[in-house]
Amino acid sequence: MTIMSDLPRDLLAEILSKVPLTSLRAVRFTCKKWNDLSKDRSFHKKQIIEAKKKQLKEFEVIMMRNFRVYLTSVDIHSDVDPSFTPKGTLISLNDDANHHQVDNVSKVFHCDGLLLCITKDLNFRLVVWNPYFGQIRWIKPRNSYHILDSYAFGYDENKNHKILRFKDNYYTFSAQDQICEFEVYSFESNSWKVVLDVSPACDIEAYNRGLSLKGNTYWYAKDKYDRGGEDIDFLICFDFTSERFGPRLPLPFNSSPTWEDIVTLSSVGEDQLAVLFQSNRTKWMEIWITSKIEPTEVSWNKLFLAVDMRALTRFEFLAHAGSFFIDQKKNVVVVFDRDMDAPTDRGMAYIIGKNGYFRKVDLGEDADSSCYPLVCSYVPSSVQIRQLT
Amino acid sequence: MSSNKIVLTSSDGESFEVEEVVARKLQIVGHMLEDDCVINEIPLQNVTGDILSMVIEYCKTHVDEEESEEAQTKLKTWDEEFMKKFDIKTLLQIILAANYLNVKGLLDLVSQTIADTIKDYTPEQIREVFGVENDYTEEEEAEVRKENAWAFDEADTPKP
Repeated sequence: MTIMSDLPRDLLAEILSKVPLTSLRAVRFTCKKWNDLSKDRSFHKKQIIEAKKKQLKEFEVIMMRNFRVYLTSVDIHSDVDPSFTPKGTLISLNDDANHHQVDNVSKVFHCDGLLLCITKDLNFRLVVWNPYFGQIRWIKPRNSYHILDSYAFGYDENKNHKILRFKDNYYTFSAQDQICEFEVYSFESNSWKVVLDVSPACDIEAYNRGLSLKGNTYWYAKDKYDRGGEDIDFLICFDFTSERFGPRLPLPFNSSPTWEDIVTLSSVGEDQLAVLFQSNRTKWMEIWITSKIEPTEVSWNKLFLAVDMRALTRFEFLAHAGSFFIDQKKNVVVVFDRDMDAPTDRGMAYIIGKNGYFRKVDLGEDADSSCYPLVCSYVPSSVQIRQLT
Repeated sequence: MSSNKIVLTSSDGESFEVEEVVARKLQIVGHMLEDDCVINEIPLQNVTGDILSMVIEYCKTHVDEEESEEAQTKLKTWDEEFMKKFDIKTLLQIILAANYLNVKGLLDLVSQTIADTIKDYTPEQIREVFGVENDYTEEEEAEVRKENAWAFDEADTPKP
């Protein structure tokens, strides 16, 4: 009789590298041999190749709803009703060996296969996690944190991961609340340091999520000093190698957005940035994709989609919600927001394509009105989290 | 295409006459044929007749892999049905054979099928089904739990 233990190691690796992400913990718990194998570098590479192959067939994204984090499978066919199926829920094992859903995540950032989760609790607020290898690293804050903190997650040229935390509320009504603080945590040194003189001479609203790409983070930003009439707006990048903001990078839109318009960012694959713009006045929406993006240079070559949203939703997506992703194969954009017609707070995914293609998928009730559904693209990677030694 | 016939003989002496194009799907055979073109009987020592017949069935079906989406879908459906015929023990024998005979497509298919069955099991069930022994001490188990504190688990069906 053949049993699993009879298989040579490379055949066992062949099988275990194809196990879905949601069963990897069970695999590691099975026996020492399997656990050891799952820590092997070459096994990780194999796993990621399989994961990427799977991504081509079955598109998966990271979703956050009601402070919980999900791995969600996206099915968008033109002839079938589109669906979002949670494949996995973020489950934590406590010290008392009980498992429970992690239900206190207020923000999620993705950078090359790693996720940075910001928890609501005052203690242990930051966690970096690689969903494939199960590694996590808790990061202790330097001091107490502010609700308006913004975060960015990236790495420098030596692949040393870093987190930027900042608070820059220049336009506050009371002078004593005016704070401008920037600090960077380095995984290598396991410490926070205040970075001085980095404040970009521009405004990054606390609700504008940064988007990490190839180790650096990009934001939609506006000129700090011009509040009358049309704003001057652009993209700006925090370069994690130099620990400085780069120059202003031009946006592709024809009209310069006013403060009522929304602009949000997303990524396509590992090295393209996508930007969504919607006008408050006309509800016109444009989505552009970069052909090249570096901290100091951007070029836009592709208007992915331009739609008059008056006929479809009649409203403008919210700047602090409005997270989105692009499915290039299906040629659609999926924007997450609320159901504007429902009397209660319900999450809704809006799927918008060419030639008037439009679908809505109800995501269910949002238990907390302040917690909007959030989506971010996810690219599996074999990046390791540097552990404390 | 050549219509040469080749006889493949299993470790337990069972013989299968197949067309050369089918036999060449077994890369081990392909290499032998390249070395010497006049072979028409090949003994395969590490595979029994019942398993070899399944490998041949797979190779016959996959003998001309068309690019068209329709053909691909048809093959995929066939693969799924084919895999349903076997229990885990047979699948493990097939994967060993596919590895020995060097049939890449079958190796991928069987390993994916086995990986997919793992999906529904707890560690206890995996051990039972695959005959794996739990060799962790209590301390080691606690350590693995710590290393895997956070994970995506199948939605709404958290496992212990």
